[in-house]
Amino acid sequence: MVKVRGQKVKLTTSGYVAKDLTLIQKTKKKVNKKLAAAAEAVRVAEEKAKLKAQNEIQLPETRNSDDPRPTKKGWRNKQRVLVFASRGINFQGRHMMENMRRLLPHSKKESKMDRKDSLFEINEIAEMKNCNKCVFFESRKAGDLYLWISNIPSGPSMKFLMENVNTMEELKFTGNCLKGSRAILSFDPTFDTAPHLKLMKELFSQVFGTPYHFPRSQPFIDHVFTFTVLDNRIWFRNFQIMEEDGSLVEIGPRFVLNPIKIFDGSFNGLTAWSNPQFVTPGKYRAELKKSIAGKYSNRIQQKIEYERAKPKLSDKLGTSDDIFQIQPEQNKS
Amino acid sequence: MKMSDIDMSDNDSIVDSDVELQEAFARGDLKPGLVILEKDEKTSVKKPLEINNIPRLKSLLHEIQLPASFSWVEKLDVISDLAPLAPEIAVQLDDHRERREKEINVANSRKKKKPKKGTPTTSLKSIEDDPIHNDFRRELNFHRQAQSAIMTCLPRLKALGVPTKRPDDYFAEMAKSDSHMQKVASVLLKKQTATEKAEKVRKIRDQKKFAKQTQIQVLQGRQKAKKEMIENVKKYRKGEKNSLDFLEERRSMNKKGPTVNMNKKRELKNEHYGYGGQKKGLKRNTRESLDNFPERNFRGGRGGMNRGGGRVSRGGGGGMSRGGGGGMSRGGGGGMSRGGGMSRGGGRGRMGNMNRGLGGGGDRDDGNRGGRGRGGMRRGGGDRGGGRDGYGGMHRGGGRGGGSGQGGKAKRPGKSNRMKMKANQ
Repeated sequence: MVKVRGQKVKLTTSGYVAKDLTLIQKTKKKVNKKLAAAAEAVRVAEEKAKLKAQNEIQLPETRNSDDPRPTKKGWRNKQRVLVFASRGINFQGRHMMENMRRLLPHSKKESKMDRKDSLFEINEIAEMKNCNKCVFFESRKAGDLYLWISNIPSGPSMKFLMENVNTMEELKFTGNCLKGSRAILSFDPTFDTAPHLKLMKELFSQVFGTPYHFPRSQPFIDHVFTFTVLDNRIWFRNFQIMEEDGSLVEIGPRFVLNPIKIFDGSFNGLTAWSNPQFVTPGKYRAELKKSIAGKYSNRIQQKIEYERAKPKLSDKLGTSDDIFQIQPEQNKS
Repeated sequence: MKMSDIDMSDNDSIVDSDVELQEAFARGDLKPGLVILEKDEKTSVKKPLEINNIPRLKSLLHEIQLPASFSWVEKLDVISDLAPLAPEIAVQLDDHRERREKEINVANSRKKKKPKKGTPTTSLKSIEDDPIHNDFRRELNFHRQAQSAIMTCLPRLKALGVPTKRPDDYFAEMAKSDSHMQKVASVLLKKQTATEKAEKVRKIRDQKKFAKQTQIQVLQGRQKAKKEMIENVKKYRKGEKNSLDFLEERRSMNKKGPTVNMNKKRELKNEHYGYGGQKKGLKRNTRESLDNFPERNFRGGRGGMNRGGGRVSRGGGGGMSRGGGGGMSRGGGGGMSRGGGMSRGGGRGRMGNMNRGLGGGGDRDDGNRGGRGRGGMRRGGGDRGGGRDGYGGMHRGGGRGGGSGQGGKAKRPGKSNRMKMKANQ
C-alpha cells in the first residue's frame, strides 16, 4: 500500500508486467509438461523392453507394404499330427481318440475312414491336411484296437496292438492339466538298448511332444508322459505335477502298446522289424478255446493210453529181484 | 538221435530206425540208458517270423531325427530311471504285500472246497504271481519314473528361464471340464466317508467283543465265588471248618458296590444300615435283569425290612444261614438254600428279610415256596426263588432284626400274611 495524493492506493502490476508474468507461468507449465512427457516416454520404453524380453512380438509403428512379412520366430519344430480312426470303432476306442486329440494341441481331426480303402490312402489324406505325422486307430473284430503311428511323407510307420485302455473320463483318474500345455516326456532306460526301441522313442517324442511356441499351446509345463518297456510292451501313463517337489497324480489316459511291426515307409514298404513274441488276439482267443475244448478229449485220451500201457502184473517176481536186496543191519552185540 | 549217457564219439553213423537200432544193439553199440528221439525238422513247430534289420533301423532313425540345432527345450524328452522309494511308500508296499499274502492263504485253504460254477479257478500260488500286488508295484514304479523325470527336468527348465509352475490366478481351459472334476471329487468323498463308517463300525464291534469278554469273566468269577461259598458253608455245617471267617472274606472280595468315592464313615453306615431307598422299577423282567442275574448288588437291603409281616421281596439274602440263628431258621434256610442255591447278596451279608419273628411263618412259607415244594430244584431260577425269600438265616447284625432289611421300601404284607397277623393278634 502506497500513499498517492494522500490516498492509499494498492499497487498493482501494470498490464504489460502481468502479461510477462503469465507468459513466464505458461512457459513454466509447458516445461513441466515436457518433462513429464519425457519421463512418461522413458517409462513406456522400459516396459516395452520388458515385454520384448518376455518374448512378445512387438510390431513396429509403421511398415511399408513392400517389406517382407515378419515371420514368427518362436515356433520352429513344425509337427502336425493327424488323429483319426477307421469305421467300426467302439466307444472306448473313440474316447481314446478324443483324449489323444485333447492332449495333443498340434493334432488335426479327420472323419472316420472306410475300412475298404487301403491304408496307403492315409498318406494322401494327411498331405491334404498338411500333416507330417499320423496316429490312426484301426479297429478290428472283437474290439481289438490297433494303433498306427507314422511319419507321413517317407518315414517309418509302426503298428501296435492297444491293450488295457483306460480313458481320461474314468473317475479314478483325479488329476487335471491345462488343455494344450506341453508335457515332459519320460522314457525308460531300456529305450536306449535296441535300435528299434530308439526309433520308437524318436517317433513318440515327435508325436506326443507339443512343439515349443506352438500357437495353440499353453505356456506352463504341468504334466508328464511316461513310457516304460515292460514284458515286451510299452506302457503309457500321464501324470499331473502337483508340487514341484515330486507329488504326482494320474490324469489318464492309460494304455499298453504291444509292438507288432515297423515298416520302412509310411503305411507301406518292407518290414524293418517284427516282434517275434507277438501273438494276434484272434489266435490267442482260439488257443484259449482249444485248451478248454481239449480238456474232455484229452482226459479220454489219457484214460485210453493208461488202459493200454497198464502192466498186468504190478510186481513181477523174478530171479532178478535178488540183485537189489537190502539186508537189515546186524546188531553188533 | 540223441543218446544221453552213451559215449558214441567213436561211432559216426546216425541211427534213426528200428532196424538200424537192432543192428546197433547186435553190434554192441547200444548201451542201457535213456534214448531220446530227436524231432524231424519238417514236422517241428514253425518259428515265428523274426526280422531285425538293424542298419535300416539306424538309417531311419537318422532320417527322422530333429536337426541338431534344435535345443533340448524343443523336445523335452528325458531318459529317467526310477526315483528312490520314499519310506512311507515302502511301508505302504509292505502292508499291501502282507494283506495280499493273507488273502492268498485264505483263498488257497478255501480252494479245497468245490468252487461255484462260473467262478474263476486261477490258483494263486505265491505272492510273486499275484496280479494285484504286482499291479500295485508296477504303478508305483511308473510313479517313481515320472518323479525322477521331473526332478531332473524342472531345475533344468528353470535355468533356461522357461516357466513351469502355473500361477494361482492363471485361469485357462483345462483338459477335463469343471463338472467332471466335481464328479471326481464327489466320488472321492463318498469313498472317504464309507471307509470312515466302516472304521467306526469295526471299532464298536471290537469294543462290544471286549466288553462281552470281560462280562463273561466277571460272571464266571462270581459263579466261582458262589460255589466256594456253598462249599465252605457245607464244610462248616459238616464240621470241617470251625470258623465262619470265609463269610467275611467273601464279603470283602465281592464288594463291588457303587463306584462312587465314599468316605469311610459313609461306607460303614451303609454296611450297617443298608443302602437306602433303591430306585423304582428294579424288579422288571428285562434282558438286562436276566443278563445280570444273579444281581450284583444282591443285598438283603433291597428286600426291605419285613415289618410285621414277612412280605418277602427279592434281594433277600439267599437263604444263607448265618451265624447262630435259630435252628429252625437254619434248618429251613439251609434246606432252602440248598435247594435254591447261593445268593450273591447273601455273601455280602445282606441277609435281609431275616425277620426272626417271622421265622416260623417264613419257614412254613418256605415249604410252599421253596423250590422243593414246587417240585424240583431249579438252580438258576431256583436261586432266585430261594434267594428271594431271604429266609432261613439270620442276619449278621443279628439282634437288629434284619437290619439291612430296612433298606427297601416297606411293603404292605400280602393277604395271607395279614390274615396270619390277625390270627396271631
